[in-house]
Amino acid sequence: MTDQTKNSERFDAYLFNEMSESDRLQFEKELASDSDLMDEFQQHKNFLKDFKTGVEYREIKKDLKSIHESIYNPGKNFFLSRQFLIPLGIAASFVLIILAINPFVKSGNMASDQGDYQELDKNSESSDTIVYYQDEYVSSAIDDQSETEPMPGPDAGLLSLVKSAPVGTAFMISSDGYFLTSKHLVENYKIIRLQQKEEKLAFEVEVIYVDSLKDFAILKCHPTISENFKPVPFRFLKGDIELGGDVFTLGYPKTEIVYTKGVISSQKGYLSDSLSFEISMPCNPGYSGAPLFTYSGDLVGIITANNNRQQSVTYVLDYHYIQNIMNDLKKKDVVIDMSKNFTKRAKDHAKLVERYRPFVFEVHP
Amino acid sequence: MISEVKIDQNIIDKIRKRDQKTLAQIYKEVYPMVIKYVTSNSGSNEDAQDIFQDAYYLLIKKTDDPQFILSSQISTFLVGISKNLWLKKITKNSINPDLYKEELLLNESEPTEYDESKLIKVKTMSESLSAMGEPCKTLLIQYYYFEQTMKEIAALLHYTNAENAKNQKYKCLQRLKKLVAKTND
Repeated sequence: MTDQTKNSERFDAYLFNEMSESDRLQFEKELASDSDLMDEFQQHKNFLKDFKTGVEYREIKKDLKSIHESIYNPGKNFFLSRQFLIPLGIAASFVLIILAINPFVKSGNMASDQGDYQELDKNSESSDTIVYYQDEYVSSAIDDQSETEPMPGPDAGLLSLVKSAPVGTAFMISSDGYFLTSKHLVENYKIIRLQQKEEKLAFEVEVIYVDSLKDFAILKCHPTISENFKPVPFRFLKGDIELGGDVFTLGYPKTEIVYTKGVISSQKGYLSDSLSFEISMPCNPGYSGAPLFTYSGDLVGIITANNNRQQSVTYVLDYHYIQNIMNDLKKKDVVIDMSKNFTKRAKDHAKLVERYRPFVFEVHP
Repeated sequence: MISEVKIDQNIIDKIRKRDQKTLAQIYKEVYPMVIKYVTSNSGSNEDAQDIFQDAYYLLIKKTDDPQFILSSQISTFLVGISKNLWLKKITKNSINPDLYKEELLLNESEPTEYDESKLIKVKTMSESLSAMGEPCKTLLIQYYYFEQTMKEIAALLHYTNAENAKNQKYKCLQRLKKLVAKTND
């Protein structure tokens, strides 16, 4: 330990009453006789005074910001409590939803080769089914949550990292603290937890919007968390997606982030849904809510589901729809400002992926 | 008129106690004037919020002085300071500062004196803290501001023991000092 460290330690110990009586007397004696030490001590004290007023400023600003929110965005869970929320009765059985339509194909059980897929095979007439990526953590978490109500807003602090497998993926779209994810991962929660292991970040976010029609939701973290983020390095694509265009995603099918590549295979989604499109990409559970990018780095959608009858067919919610919803939300004072997003192109693909990676998060209930 | 001043003085006591209801009430009353002013002078909603909250901070800090007596109405005080802060900001960044100079001079006669260097100082500290990131930020704030023990902080930030956290604390403080000094240059 250097002298400086030692002095600094002694100053703090003295100031915060962590010294024994004899040490304290000894320190005071030294201070009185050693003017250099005294100077250093005074400087330390002055800096701490500045520090405290600086933190006090932060704290007061934080209070004022929450006053602002309470006046101008009252009823934090407005969206949840109104028309946007699916009735709880349906939600209770949401763990897996099958969209089963085609009555002509024999009902197949793909569970054996789907491994971890939770297949909600309620409808025996179904065959061509969509499986939402998600695993068993969710159902147990619902019970946990009912005991801890009412839920407050997201906590400003960082949480410790957890090792359990995430239920899905979320990603940041604006450094003001907004994230996108899949609705089915979060719709039963007011608060959910995001984690980024490489960045050693874990924190709570509030579910501020759940779409009534499509599988996506918007999350927001506390401003004290978001102020640590750099500008988000991507934006929505300008123009339309191209059939055959290369795309990639980053998600959490396991406890580590995984990169996967694919190709846009149809500009329409499941049953010709025009709000979604189809990509040819092997997709695992946990990719739900993951962002889909073109090779040049533009955001083109959110991964929602795969078709378990057709291998490597994955459905993606088209970004036009998300943009429209975000525009509508502006009227309700939810302004997601993506103008500050940083869009300098990386020289090579690996660099691009590396830059995007810190903005992709595990979702934990 | 006398009664109005009295009412304001009552409110000052409440602000001093950080009465949330009073703070919110004032916010609601005054902020619309500031947002109108800032947005009609080439500022965004966010700018208005930031400026107004800085002005509000200055008011709150002023009430900490028990001798403080408000010489104008609270709204006049807050709007006046907000205007001044905003004008200073845009004249600093503006290509054509003369455009606002007249108004800035005009404003200085209003009873809105505040210590600008103090605000700059706390802002510098706050920004340096944000720039430092985690875990330094939490470590220093918890120890020096909230006066948590090293043991508690070690548990919070997952250090193996208090001694490790202590070493880290010294390094973090040095870094912060450097960051602050750099901004002041």
